[in-house]
Amino acid sequence: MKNGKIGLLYIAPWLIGMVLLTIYPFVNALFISFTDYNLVRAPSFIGFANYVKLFKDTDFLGTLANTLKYTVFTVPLQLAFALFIAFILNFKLKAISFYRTAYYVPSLLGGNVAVAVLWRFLFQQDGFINRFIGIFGLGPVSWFSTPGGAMAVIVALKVWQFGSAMLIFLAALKDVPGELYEAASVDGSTKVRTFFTITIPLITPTIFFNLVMQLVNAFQEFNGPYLVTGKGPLQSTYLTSMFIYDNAFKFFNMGYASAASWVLFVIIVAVTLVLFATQDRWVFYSDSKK
Amino acid sequence: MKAAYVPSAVELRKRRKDAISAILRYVVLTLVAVVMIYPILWLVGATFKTNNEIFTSVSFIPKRIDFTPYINGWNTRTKFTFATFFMNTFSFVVPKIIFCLVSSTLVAYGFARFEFPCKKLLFSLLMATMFLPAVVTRIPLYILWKQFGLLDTYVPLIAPTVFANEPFFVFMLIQFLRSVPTYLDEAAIIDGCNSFGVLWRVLLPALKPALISCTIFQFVWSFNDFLGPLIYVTSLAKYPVALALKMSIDQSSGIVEWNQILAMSFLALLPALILFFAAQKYFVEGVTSSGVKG
Amino acid sequence: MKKNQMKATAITLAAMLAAASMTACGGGASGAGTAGAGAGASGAPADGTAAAAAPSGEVAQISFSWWGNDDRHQATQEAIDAFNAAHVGSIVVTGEPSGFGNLEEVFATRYAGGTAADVMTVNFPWVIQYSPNGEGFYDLDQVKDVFDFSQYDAGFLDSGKSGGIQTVIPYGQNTLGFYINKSAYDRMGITQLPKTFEEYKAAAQVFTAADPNTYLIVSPTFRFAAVYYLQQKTGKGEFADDLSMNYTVADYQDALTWYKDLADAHVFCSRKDYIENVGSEPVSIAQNAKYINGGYPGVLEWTGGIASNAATLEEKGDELVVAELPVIDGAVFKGTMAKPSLTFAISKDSKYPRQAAEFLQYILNDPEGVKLMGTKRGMVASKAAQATLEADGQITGAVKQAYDFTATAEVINNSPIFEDAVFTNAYEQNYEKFEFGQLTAEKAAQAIYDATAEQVAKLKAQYGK
Repeated sequence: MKNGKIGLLYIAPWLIGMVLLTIYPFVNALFISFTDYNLVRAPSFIGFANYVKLFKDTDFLGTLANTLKYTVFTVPLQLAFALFIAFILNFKLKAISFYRTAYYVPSLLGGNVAVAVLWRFLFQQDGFINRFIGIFGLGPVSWFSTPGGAMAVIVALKVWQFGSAMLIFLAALKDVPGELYEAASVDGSTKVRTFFTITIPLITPTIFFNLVMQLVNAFQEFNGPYLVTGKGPLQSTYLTSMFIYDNAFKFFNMGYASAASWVLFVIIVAVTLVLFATQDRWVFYSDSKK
Repeated sequence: MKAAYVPSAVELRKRRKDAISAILRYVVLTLVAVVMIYPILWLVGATFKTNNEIFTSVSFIPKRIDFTPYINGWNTRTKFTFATFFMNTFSFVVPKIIFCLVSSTLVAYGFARFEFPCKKLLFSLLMATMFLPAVVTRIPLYILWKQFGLLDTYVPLIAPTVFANEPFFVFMLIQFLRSVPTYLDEAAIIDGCNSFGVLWRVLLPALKPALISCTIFQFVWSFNDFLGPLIYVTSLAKYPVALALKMSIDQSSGIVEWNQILAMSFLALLPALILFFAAQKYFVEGVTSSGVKG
Repeated sequence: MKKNQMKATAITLAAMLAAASMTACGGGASGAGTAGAGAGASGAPADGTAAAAAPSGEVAQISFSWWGNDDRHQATQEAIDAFNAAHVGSIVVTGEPSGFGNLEEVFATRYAGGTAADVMTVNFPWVIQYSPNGEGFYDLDQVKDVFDFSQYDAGFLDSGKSGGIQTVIPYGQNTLGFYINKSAYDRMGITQLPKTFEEYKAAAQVFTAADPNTYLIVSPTFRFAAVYYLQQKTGKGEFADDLSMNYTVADYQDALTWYKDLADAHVFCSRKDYIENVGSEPVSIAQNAKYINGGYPGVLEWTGGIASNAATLEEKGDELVVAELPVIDGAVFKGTMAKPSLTFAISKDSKYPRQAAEFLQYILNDPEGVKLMGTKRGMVASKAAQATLEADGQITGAVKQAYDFTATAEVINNSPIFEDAVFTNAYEQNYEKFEFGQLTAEKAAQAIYDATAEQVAKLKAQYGK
């Protein structure tokens, strides 16, 4: 569409940085994944041994399954929640800034120690959650010591921190011209219908963005389980990033850890490629004319 | 004064429906909000509690109000106070934000609005760089920075932003740019703008909400980043808040004064809270009122 | 060629960047710089080159790295200041304190990057990891005229040796012991504290009658209890001197069923209860709600942890006491296990090893330094230091009991490879599978054995044994 050289000029800073700060350590890590390396002695080349061992390692395969499960649960829930709240917040409301801040607070807290302590309180045997579901005659559930329960706890934690996605949705919703809503309202369309027929199609690029980002984050999740459940009962909340961390810095097995991260990397790339391939079917860009 | 006006039945029903839906909205919003901010309330309450109270009570109301934890926490028992640690944090967070905004915008503009050789490949690379778990590149990167003699400085923390090497921001801005119609660019070019002029005059105003989001994210993430400073910053005089906070927590020896730690954690949250509270005003305006589309 | 070019570009860019960041944040950066305690004045790129060209000066600059909480930082900084004041013009020590998070990662990164401090705190398991043949750190025999090794028990000092070389100085001995919340027992009307596992079982019945969720002894990991049991059963430590395994599959199976029986009887904490109330990692339970509330009226812990365990109970008015070591049926050995808490090493790249040793002598043996360092790192092993602290009134209460316990308990010293995280992980995960019914005791025992054997073979190859 425009002069090629100018485009390259604009992306030049990124290109330079990428070679130095990303590709170089990347390749270095790939090299390490073919070695036995404990940080102290020089790496010794062992070919594909690390990769072969990985695919026989039930712990590793277990973490992959857990990571997948975690991703499948958190991403849709978090996105739906974030979009729903952003949609409501986009109306003219009283005390709107209070609400908006309140919803972002959990994301601000991130890995704060208070989160770890508090979440234990909420989900413990005589904790708030069990008392709450007790009202409906359910439970009490041993959240932390049953595999399903522990997974539910970290999924809930992640969904609770939906602020970043909400913020991005909010910014996108502000982009939707108000006239469209007015027109729809004149046509007698309900709010819910307007939301599905007008709003959603207009913000598909943002939905796509959030989807990709949340997927990538979920696949690399570390903080949540690390803070609250650890490996969980029967390693049910042992995620791949924790496995990598353990092998790198607890077991000093850098080669093995690097191999595991390359496997994770390839999986994430594959999933993202699939997503990009579906993009043409449901994501509408206003600049696209190809 | 409008007493003479009698609304029709249909109108009344619509009003009642509106009122009910508004109330419903507030109820839902408030309930969810309570769940959301409870941890903050608890955190504030806990800063006044004793250790035992913290670990055994889920209620956020402390038995006493006493600011000693704040004072002691702020002064620390090292030779620095949290004033130093806050200054340290800002001295790399602020450059990070500025560099990030500038470089990411330029790069995103390049990707979103221009055709150039290998664009597809380069874009895939950009995406791919988001996916490698950071834990593996850490040691090669550390050795790299050591070779440059830049350990114990903030340069390793800031450098990725100078080169737009935090692809999240680039990708986000690309997505936003792509939803801005190109006819605006074309109009500006007809008006005699060069490519930078288009970015500056036309796209930047449209990008405002996205840029504000970037600022908030970069601020929050950099402010809370713990692992980066932990590895690169060794001297206490250069410690940022996140490190200073973690430094106080050691369960292996002696007694941890949790109320002091939580008091400082709360203070550490404040800048982000204030920034967010202030910045959202610009969110509200958005693009529709900024004149680009109106 | 290409690399050099890259480097040159990067340095230029970095310099520009540093300049830019200085202007961008003016006061902040320079303020921090001037406040800096000796670590190369201000700007960024100068640091590396300045350090390389420094040795001409008379003053020996040494750095000391440690981790801990504020209390420890304060005490250590005071000791450093006093040391510096006494060595004006000859030695300047700079402190490099850090918190407790990600210790391994930071140490590994710095060590691999060659930027470790002159005097460094080294976790005991890292000794064999980084210095398997005694060559990873400075050979301390070279400075035995500066540092007084005679203050240490010779056998204990050996735990700081690798390949026959004194590679680190162990700071204090950690002994595994049973500690009981005496007040909780009082409330149950049990005045005679249990001495045998049978008595524990009887006491557990009393406790569970009042609260069915009580477990008498919480052990942060199954491995502590298992090795305690297996030492008594076999009379041997987990690993021989040549790193070989001392326990068989049958031994592991016994340990698994022994622990499970006691867990079912609510003597030892079940894995399920531990995960529910503490977490999946072995951590100090001093701050744990269930422990504080008497739901775990006892702990199996290292003596190093007793101070904090006692303190949180004290805040509630409860008293923690050291219990007599229970002995299993048919015991060959009636004691427990011990290991160094943490150790100190001098970097092999240090330009001033003698001055570094002088500093260590000051903080570990010299009365003045010892008093300032206090008890913030747990118990001390140096006899001089212990005498100083006792005379100074710094050893009291539960800690005093712990010293007495340490002095009398029969112990087997842990092998340096004991703390390799792979082992604890194998014990824990397989016991968990056994308790949760995923594995039979036989299979779990085999799994522990196999995982341990694999890692031992690897370590043996690595350390040339």
